[in-house]
Amino acid sequence: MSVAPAEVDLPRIEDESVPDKPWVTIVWNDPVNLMSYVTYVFEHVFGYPRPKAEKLMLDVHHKGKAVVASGTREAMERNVEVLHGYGLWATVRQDT
Amino acid sequence: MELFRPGRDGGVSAWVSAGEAALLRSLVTPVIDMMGGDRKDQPQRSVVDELEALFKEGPAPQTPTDPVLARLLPDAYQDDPDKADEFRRYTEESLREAKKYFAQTLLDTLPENGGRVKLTGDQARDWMRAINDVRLAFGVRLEVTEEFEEQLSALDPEDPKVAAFEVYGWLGAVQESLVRALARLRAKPRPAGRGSLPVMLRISRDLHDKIIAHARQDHPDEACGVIAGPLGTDRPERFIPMENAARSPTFYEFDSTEQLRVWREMDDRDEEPVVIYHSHTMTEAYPSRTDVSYANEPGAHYVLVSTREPDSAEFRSYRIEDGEVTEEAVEVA
Repeated sequence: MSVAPAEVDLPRIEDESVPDKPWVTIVWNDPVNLMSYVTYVFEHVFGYPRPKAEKLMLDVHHKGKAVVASGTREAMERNVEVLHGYGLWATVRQDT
Repeated sequence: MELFRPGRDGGVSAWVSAGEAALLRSLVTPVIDMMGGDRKDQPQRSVVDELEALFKEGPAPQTPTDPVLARLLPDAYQDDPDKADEFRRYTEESLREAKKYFAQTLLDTLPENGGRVKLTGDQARDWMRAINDVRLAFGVRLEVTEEFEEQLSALDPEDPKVAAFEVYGWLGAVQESLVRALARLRAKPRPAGRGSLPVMLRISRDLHDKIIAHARQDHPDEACGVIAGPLGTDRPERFIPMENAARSPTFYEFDSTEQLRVWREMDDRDEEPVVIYHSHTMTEAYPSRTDVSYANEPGAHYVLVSTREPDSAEFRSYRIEDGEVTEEAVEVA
């Protein structure tokens, strides 16, 4: 998100990038996306091995949502963009 | 339709009829319109215009009010409209462009009057995303739940929604076949070159007779099915008679739903289709042009049985790869 005008973004980034509070990518359950497809996307996008991708998919399916990645805010926003491209319902949040 | 299967060249392929190609086109094209819908007033923008637009404090895009658009272009932040709007301002345009691109890939690689679809891995992922966007749109409009089958069977057969549910289900089968073909491709690269294929079908007397009995039973329509065997062994073992969805004396076609179920079962059991058989009821046991264009499993033995003579059945086997037919010996033991 380097294109953001500095005067809008800089202060916000400074006070939110606290190192011990990482950001997370969350994927939410929805009735349309196929389980096999969601697993495939986790494998392909994050490079997760099949068992981990499957476990995350099942977490999404049974618990309604799952944290699928954590890291900097920029990286999580990039994840969400890619996941939206795949039609998954994904959001970013600062871990609490 | 023959659903997607991994090819030998690192890609995937399927076969679509003219009607299915037209249906896919009609379903995917509106996604392109929808993703470009609010940009019609600003057609050709230069790089300078794009840059200006980026820095302009213009009306920022908001969470779409249309529920389909809101699903395709969702908020990236929950319970934080400011962050959601800010993210949207810098990413929505490129997400729209991406979705248009996926849909366009599908349109560009779909044979206009039907036929074989051959895709690279990247193109296959574009197809998956394009089809998924259509499924998401259907899902919102039809208020699909996870119990989609139950929803469909609860509908009055006269309800116009039935057709939409069926298309939605079909898109799901196509989607799943793409996912499985790509996953299999990664898991197990296929041996390359026809030289590695044995040029003989060895089949048990029992399975041989079962194929002929199935062909006789469905006569005068063509019969079709598969014999599965453990991966890489070339041993036909598990007899799976299938339904000819075309119910025709001159043509056979697997039912997409049944094909997906059977192929999924084989994947789960670490099997592959060792034999794919069908019958001809009026002509000799040689693959027709349609049979050749349909053939999607270069590793399979394509068995043809002719039931044109009432008391003797012709039983022959072929390899079909890239439109090339090679007859092979059959050893019944």
